[in-house]
Amino acid sequence: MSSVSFRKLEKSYGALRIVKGIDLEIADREFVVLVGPSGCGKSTTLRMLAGLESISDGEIRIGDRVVNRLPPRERDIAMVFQDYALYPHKTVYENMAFSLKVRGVPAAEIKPRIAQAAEMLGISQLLDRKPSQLSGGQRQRVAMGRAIVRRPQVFLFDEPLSNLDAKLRGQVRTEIKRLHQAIGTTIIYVTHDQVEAMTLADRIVILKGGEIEQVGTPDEVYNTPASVFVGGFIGSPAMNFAKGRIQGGAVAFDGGSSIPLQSRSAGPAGALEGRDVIVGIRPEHFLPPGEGQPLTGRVQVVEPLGSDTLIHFALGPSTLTARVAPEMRPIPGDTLSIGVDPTRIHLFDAATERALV
Amino acid sequence: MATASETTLVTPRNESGTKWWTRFLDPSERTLALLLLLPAALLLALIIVYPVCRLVWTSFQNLSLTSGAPAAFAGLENYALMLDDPVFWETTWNTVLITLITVPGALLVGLALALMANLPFKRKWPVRLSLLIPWALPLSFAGLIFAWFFHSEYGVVNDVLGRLGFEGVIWFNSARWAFAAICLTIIWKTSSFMALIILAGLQTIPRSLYEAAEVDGAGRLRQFFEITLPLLKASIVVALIFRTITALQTFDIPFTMTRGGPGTSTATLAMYIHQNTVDFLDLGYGSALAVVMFALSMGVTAVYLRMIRAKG
Amino acid sequence: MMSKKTMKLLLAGAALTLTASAAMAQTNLRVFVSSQHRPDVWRKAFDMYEAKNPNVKVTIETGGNTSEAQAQYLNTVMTAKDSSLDVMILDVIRPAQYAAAGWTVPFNDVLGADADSYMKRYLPAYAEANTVDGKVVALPAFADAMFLYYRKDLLEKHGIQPPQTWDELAVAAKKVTESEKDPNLQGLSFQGKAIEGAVCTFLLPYWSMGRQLVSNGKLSFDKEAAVKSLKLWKDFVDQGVAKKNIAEVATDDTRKEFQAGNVLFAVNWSYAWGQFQGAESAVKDKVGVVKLPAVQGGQPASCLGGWEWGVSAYSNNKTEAQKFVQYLSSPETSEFMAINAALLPQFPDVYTDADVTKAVPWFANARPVVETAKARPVTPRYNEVSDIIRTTVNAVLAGQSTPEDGATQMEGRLRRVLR
Repeated sequence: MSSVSFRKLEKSYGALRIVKGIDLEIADREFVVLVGPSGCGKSTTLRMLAGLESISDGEIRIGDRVVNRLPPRERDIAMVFQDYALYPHKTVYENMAFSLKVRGVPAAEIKPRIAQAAEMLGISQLLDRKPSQLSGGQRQRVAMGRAIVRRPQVFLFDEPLSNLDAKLRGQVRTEIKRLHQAIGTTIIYVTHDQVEAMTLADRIVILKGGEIEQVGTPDEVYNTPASVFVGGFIGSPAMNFAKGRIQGGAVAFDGGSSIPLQSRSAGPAGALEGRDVIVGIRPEHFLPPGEGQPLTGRVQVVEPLGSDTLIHFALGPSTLTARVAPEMRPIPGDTLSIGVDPTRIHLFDAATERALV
Repeated sequence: MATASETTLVTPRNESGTKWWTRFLDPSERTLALLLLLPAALLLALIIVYPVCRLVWTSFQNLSLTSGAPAAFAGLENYALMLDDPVFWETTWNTVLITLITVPGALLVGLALALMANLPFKRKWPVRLSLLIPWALPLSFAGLIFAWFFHSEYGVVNDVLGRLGFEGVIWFNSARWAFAAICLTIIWKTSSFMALIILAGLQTIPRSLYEAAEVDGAGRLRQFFEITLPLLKASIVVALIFRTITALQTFDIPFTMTRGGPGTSTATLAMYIHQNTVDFLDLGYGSALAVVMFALSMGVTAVYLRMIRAKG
Repeated sequence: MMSKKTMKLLLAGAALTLTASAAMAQTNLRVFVSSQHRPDVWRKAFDMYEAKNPNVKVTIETGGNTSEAQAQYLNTVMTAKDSSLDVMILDVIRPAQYAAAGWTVPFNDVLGADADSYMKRYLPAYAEANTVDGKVVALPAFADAMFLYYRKDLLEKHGIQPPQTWDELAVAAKKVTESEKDPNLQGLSFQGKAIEGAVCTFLLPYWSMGRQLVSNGKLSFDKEAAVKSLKLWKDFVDQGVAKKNIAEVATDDTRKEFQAGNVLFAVNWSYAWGQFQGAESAVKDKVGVVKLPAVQGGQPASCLGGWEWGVSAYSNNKTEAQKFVQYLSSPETSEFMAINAALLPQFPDVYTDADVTKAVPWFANARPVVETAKARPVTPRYNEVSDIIRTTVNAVLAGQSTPEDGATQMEGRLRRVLR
């Protein structure tokens, strides 16, 4: 088990820069999720760590070793691929035993190790099967089993759940989390799904355009998103954004409503006076009418979810979504008056889209 | 892990106890199936079954156009003649030898070519094209071209040997050298076909398997033997079936290169069939020889098919 | 196979309309001519016929450049009962086979009672080769035989007379090649490749020993003579008189090498003479031609060649075709072809014709050679006989089997065929 660090990590294909100077320290036993939209450089970063892609510049360390020039087999890592990459002609047992055999682990030792891993993953009865005889979830488990038996310093997961249906995804997600709790090895996990990131990670690394947008615990990235991008990426339904301007210690929306700024989100209001801002409000942070600061708009669509109701309403030129109590069922076209918790609104600079603190 | 059994999707086969073919017993479906198969079956009967039956029937006849006598039933006479016909044995042996040498030869060369063509070249088409050329070349052309290559006086092979300080070989003056020249030519001509089939197989192997193996710690050689080769098995068997059957029917290249010489030492069974039917006009004997070749091809195919089936 | 029937019907329909219109208009005759026998000159002979018979139009078809290739093509056409060819030229060894297969139409109907006297006009060997069981199955196109060509200039330079025996030839060849010191100069070139010419190669010394291969349709194989014959040729190779790869040499290779000035003695057919005198020849006016040598104590023997005109049994214009062939096989055409294409006449008298002797003076010497030349065995299974002999000659010359083994194998295989 080991720490991992990226220092000014770069990857470019010719003139095309994919990864632009990533600095990141990952502690031993930590579960870090790299998340971002496709093309953000998360998979490339993982593959550089695995040794499957060359490093254009910068440095990767696993523990104390600089691994830049080491081939994958000497990096002491194990990887779970998006398509699982199980050897189709080998049985589950042979798949799991392959890396041990290659590394010259004595046969007497291989067997108990596989038995143990298979036990942990609940695939003991599948050991004689070929991958083609397994379901998607079973293949996923075998792929993990193949990684576990190696007992590597670091586990790498490259979008491991994207080939599973929604129900299985939730199930396997829990298993991965439990696995980490059981074996404790450092895990670096790549996904484009913010739910996986939130549920699994000790720390989330949000990437955009080859750069780190924010690093933090799930709570941090949820509660204090560093940018419009992070705010919109983390959380579901996504954060609402509306343009406004700071005037007289309050934020005035383009449509006419305004919310007074209070200590938590605004800092010294005077410094911001007159600035154009983007206001971020999470759908779940609206309050029932009469509570908090009132905000009015015209109801466009109402989506009852049972547990909650989603109300889409117009605020000036923007459309906002509020998640409110299930009893609340306004009629489209009505004027909605709804409350906002002024301590939970997020302000971003309109030009840089970075959070204003 | 309690969830494991719930997600087990593979159920034991034939659990219900019904056999797969019971579906076809449904009269309407059965009739429809037969009707749909009829045109293909008729066509096959016309172009394959009829000629084969005709061939077998002719092989039981005394039918020599040069004799002037009408065809007469001869029973197994043609087959009996075959048994003490030294040329039949020699040409059959030559055919088997050509098969045993050129099929594995073409497989090895073809595998190497396919692996080369599968390398990440910037421009793939020149590589693919050069693979295709020997395949696209008519067999008799290849024979004629290589006959010149191996010509003892004007051929490029002896010229190169001479420049390297070796004495030239009169290739077609010796059974052994002539045989070697023919086998080399056949391997050159046929390995690109093997390469094409194997290349197609190679491209179905996902890259991630090699990456997984790389992470698992396998070197290049190990990857080749543990991943590439086993996953190519199906393509290789297909290529082998085609190649072996065409090898058993080898005709064009020895025909154009040596005409079977010196003597009959490089003649093949197919050439002997051709000679008996086209030159000697002995259709009965020629047909009997063809039946033997047909049986040989069928036997080999059966062996290969069994091999595939055994692999599941 | 259904399509074959339909095709036949269609063809028959087409043929009907053709013959119907032919009665009023013209007959189209399609003639197969061997490409090595001056189809250009034959064309002129055909033109003369067309001029005299305005209702007949003759088209030439050629293909293949050896007797075997042409036979393969014609075999295919005839087995398919294809009516597209009306007349075909056949190597002297084939009329008997084609008649047995029923592929040619006998001329007896058109010749009537005169058949005997008609055939007596030809050299006896050709009358015989074209008559099977009393039926005239084809008419001779021209004669041929094998000759010994030699370099007049080199023999004169070394004061040597043309050899009378094969032994004399070997001595002369060694003497000349040793003193000439030209590494490209071969003493003797003959046909060792497994082609029809190699059959004659075997038979020349065999016949010279007074032996026959087939007598009265039965095999009369003399193994001792066969061994001697094979050994004679193999010794030429081993002694360096002939080149090591003689087993690769076909008829036209001998011609080309001699023509290039690389050969002292060559065994070849008459067609080579015209080529040696051609503009591209390196040996123009340096060539002598005589009858072939004999074995010690034997008679000189040559191989009878020549080609014959046959009319296809599947022709739709048999009568017109036969008339045309009678023209082609006439003394007039023979003279024309002798003068213009140097093809040897099938009529004894044409050899002494004034115009012919003027154009090709050496024909005067050629006549006795042709008259004494021996025909290759006449049997319907000649192709198999030929194959056995030529592959054996080829194998022995390549050193694949000894003359003794070769003769044994030859006898065994011949017995199977002529059983």
